[in-house]
Amino acid sequence: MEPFDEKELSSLLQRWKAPAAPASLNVSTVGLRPSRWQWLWTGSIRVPVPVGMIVVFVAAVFWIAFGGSHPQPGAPPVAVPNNAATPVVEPPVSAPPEVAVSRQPASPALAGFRPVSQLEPKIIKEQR
Amino acid sequence: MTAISFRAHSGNYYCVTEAEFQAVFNEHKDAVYRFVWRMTSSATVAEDIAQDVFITLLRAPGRFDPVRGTMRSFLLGIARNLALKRWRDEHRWEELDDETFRPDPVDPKRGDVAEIVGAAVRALPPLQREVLILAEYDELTLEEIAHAVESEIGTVKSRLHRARENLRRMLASLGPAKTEKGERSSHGTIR
Repeated sequence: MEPFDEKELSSLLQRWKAPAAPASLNVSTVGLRPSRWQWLWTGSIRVPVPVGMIVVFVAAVFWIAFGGSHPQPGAPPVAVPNNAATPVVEPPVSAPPEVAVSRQPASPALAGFRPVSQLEPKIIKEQR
Repeated sequence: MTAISFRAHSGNYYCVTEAEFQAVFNEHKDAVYRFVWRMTSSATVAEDIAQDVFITLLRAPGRFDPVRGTMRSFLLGIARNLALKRWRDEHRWEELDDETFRPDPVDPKRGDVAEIVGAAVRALPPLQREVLILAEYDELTLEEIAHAVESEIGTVKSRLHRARENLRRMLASLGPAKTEKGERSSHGTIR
């Protein structure tokens, strides 16, 4: 077997032909660049990490300052009256001193509450 | 009309129109397609990658720098990267440039001379195959090949040398005399 020199090898390699690009290979430039409206839905922007961190930090500060009064997760739901939309609290104008208003929640006071077995109303006549 | 900017020699950008892009596409599409076809031996993959090459050019035209090389070597470089990426996905555990690759001579009764040559080229490790294809079929200079494959000229020379040695070994059974004989049998004349 005779070895090839450069020219012989090159001419032998040229025997292997490759086909031309098919007609279906057609890069249409129309539509490759998205329109501005399309960009609003599919576009992306690159944000440097420091800028992103500052934005996240500022957003967190705002959330803590103005949006942190939400109920804690896991707390029982509190019944809110219908007029809770207008939480106007008016202080009592002249509260009688002998009347003590219990501020304690109602639920502990009703813990041992049971309905009476027999109702015995008493009529007390007014003395004049 | 959509404008596409290419980097000028001065480093500034100038624009080409869609028509000019189409001219680039028409001029280089066959070279890009043939290169990928020879690298992958798949018409479907060649078409996909060739399309991706021109879409890459369209989306990032500023990556082309005429100072560093020609448009053709730039496009072939993109095609080479895409083809190698696909090859790596499919042959995760194989060496790209296997220096220990020692092929056996091909059987001359295996088929047509062109088919045997094609099979021999496809049997080369990818990094040897790409420089051989770029040198022999795309007729790029060593400098252009080095630009396309992002390697030093010395590395390209070395790979090209190994590729040719391997091909000589594989195609030895064809020999110059047998090649002429094969050509006569298939075409009826000796070139």
